[in-house]
Amino acid sequence: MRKIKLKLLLPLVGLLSVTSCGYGLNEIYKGNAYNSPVFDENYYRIWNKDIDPSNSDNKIVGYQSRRLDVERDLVFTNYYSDLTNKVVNPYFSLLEEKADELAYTKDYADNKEELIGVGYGPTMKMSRFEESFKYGYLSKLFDGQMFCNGNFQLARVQIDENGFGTLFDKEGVLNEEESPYFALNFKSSVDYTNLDHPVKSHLSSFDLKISFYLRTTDGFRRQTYVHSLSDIPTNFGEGYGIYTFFGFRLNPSEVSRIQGISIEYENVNDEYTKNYGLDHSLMLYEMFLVDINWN
Amino acid sequence: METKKFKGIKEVLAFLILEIFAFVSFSLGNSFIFYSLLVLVLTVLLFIFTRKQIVKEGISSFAIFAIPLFAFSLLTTLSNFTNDSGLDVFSRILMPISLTCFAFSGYLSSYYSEFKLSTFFLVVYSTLALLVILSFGYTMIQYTPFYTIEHASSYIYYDGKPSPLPIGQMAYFLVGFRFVEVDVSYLSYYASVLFSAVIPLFFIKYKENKKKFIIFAVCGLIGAITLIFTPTKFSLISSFLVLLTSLIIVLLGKSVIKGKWIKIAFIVFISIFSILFILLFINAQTDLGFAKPLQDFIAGNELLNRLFNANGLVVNYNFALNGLFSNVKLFGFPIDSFNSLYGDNASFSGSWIFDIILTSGLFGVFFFVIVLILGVNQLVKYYKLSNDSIEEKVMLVGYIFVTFVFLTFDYPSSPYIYYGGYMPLYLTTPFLICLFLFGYVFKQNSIKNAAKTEYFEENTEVTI
Repeated sequence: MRKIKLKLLLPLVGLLSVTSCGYGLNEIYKGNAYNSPVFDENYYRIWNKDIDPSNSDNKIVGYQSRRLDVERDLVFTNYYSDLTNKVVNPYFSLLEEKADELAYTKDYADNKEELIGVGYGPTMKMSRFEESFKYGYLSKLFDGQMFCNGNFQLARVQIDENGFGTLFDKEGVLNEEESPYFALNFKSSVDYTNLDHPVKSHLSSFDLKISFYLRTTDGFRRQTYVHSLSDIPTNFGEGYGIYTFFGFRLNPSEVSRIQGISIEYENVNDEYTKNYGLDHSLMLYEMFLVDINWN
Repeated sequence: METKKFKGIKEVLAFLILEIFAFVSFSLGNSFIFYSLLVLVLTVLLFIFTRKQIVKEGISSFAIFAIPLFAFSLLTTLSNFTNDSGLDVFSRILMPISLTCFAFSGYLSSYYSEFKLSTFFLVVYSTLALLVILSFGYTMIQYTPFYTIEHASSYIYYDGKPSPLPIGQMAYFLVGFRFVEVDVSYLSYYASVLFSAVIPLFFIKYKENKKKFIIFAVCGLIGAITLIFTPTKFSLISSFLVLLTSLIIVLLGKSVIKGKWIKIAFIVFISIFSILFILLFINAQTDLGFAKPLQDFIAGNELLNRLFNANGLVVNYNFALNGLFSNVKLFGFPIDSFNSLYGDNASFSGSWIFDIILTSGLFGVFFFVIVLILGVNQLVKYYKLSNDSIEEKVMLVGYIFVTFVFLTFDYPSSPYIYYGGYMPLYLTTPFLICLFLFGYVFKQNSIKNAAKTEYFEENTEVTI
């Protein structure tokens, strides 16, 4: 009888020992997270502790940084170089063979199945190619919704200069035979809810820093790319012409694998925010890592 | 005299019955088409082997059960709901045939000498236990024990938006060949049916049937643990009702309570339910002028208003009952209109009584109720008069009653949280197995012989 009880209890103990793993509870929120009418409450400032530069126990074992070369790295800052005639940016068209077929307009902004093959966002969204990108707060950047479309903070990830850093569930492997690239669709903004100061459309400039993290045997190697962006429309409200569609080629010899990413920016030059002591922010709508195999 | 070869074929067919229902109970592939085709083939084979034994009088009483079942499933497949629900054409064509074949195969199995009901339940419960333990195990890996309480108001982000349900109302379930996020009540449904495996434990002597006892005990334990570790407000109520039902069946089997008290309690319950249902129906109507005084009275009384108007359950009951005789409700509610007309103010109620109105229409629910009345009536006759062992009888009655008790209160007809789609109760595998069991109880041989024996004993007393 004792042996039977043991045989019955052992599997139960085994089962209960794998509980409390709680993988599904890694990222939970109460009610409306980052969805406040108070601008300052919507900043996403989460860094994974293993790659957080402010964490003295992080696992960064190597770090390289360089500025992007526009020609060599095929850097683009808009989808259409001629918005009126819908002429695709020449560097972007070298990276994306479908750029001419797909549309980058507000009309094709939503995450809808019928827009696959029509709009760039719904077609190229990362959640289409890897299920794990559907989970977590940052799934907002992988859901295909390129533009605000009246959804305000529900559609965007709002960051300040310190940005955020995350590790992916799967590792992306870059292939020399393909043409992998990174792209980011975003707006620049200052607090438009602050009624003490007028909402004024203006231009700002800053250095955008995109870092990729490669897993090594003893930690992560960080590869950072920096690019100066100037005359970026800030506080212009809606209208797809005022979004910045930024991206560049990924060189597999420099970044052969991607386990994580962080986005920060610095050296903000914005007279308006300085005059009124306001905070500058970037509103990220969609991010793409294209032609990468996720394992 | 049977040849060895013929006997071998009969044994293979008996094994086929068990294998098919193992697949059905495990919801293998979650494919209604797959189960339907298997049961169709099984029905044909069983008919070939049992046609000579079927008692002609018996087939007519089964036919009286099968006709409304066929009518219900035909109305369902043609309903506005099914039209909009995305169910593929092949499944829609198969549905009336399949549901009737599930019942018919049960009826034919009862005449098949190689078929043993106790072995059938061993297979059904074991495979259901496998399904539940896999789903429960994966849920516990993703979440933690009692997460339903701890995270009752926590959300995750999925595809750029907060999850439509809080974590405390979610679970994982093996659907097809992957684990998907479902309403936790969906997991509770299968766990509750599995829990009914404890009923035969009170009728199996451990020393005589150790293996069988242990199998049923483990199955019941898995069901119980799943329910205990994923409690929600509704699952506590449904679990209590499942426990109560199981207890009543055990006490009835042990003759601790007499059948006549169950009958009296049932009549009282049905009477109270009927009155409440009529009041609910009248109160739910918006276009019945004569109902206004009653509706005002209910609205004016705090307790009655809470009971009939202002609680989360009754909103959905009223939605199903309002305009019941309108064109829409006669033939099922077009599902596309759900959200466009009612937004978040209407959904499935969790109760078959109201959900069948939406999926199958008023005529559909009429035939469904007839099926249940005929089925339960025959179930009672089977229980009283059949030659099957008490253990088999209580298992059969227990499985059916526990399934329907859960389906009366807490079944989520749209259980998939992210993938959309519907799983109406009549496509779920426990319900399909109930149809098989309902068909089984229409076996007339043993019931008639038992009735004849009773009659003979009465005569004997009189002549003395």
